[in-house]
Amino acid sequence: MNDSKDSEVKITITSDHKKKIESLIKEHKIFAFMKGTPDMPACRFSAQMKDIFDELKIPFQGYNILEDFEIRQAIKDFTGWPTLPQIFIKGNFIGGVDILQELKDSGELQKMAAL
Amino acid sequence: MCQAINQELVNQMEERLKTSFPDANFEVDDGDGMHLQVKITAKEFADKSLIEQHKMVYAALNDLIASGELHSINIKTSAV
Repeated sequence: MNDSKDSEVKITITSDHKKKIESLIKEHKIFAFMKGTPDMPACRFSAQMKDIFDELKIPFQGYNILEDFEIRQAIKDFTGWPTLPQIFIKGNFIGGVDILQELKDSGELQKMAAL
Repeated sequence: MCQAINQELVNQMEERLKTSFPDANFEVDDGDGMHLQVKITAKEFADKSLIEQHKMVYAALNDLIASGELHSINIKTSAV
């Protein structure tokens, strides 16, 4: 525990949360924990993610963390990553939208999604 | 929902980055006018994956993120 003045309720990540996250990222080739849904992203970064996938015609599934406060906290503990969206390809965490953009620009994303 | 750029916050971010990456070249600006953007080139990033590099930046800014002062930033890292 650090002594940050975090006013949010601390949620301990349980094995149920972990199992849910693991099964979501395993069952879907490209999966994002995001604000809003793939059809209706609810923040600029989630929208930017959708634009990148749409441009490359890469389908993805998403989980709306605005409707699940527990998973919203749990995913941050799971990856050690403090912001959203968080993107997984074939079960591997690849980062947030800035990294997605870099992977797209380098052509790496297209390869990762193709196989 | 989007607040005006707070110069105080930018200063705090610069302080944290200077502490964590003493020799780095970095720039904190307000990108499109609404969201903060960090561009940083540091030797600490050598041989690190992009995920690790971004995590190091988040770690440097951790207290500002935990307090809710800073919640959305774009990060662009490069190794020296």
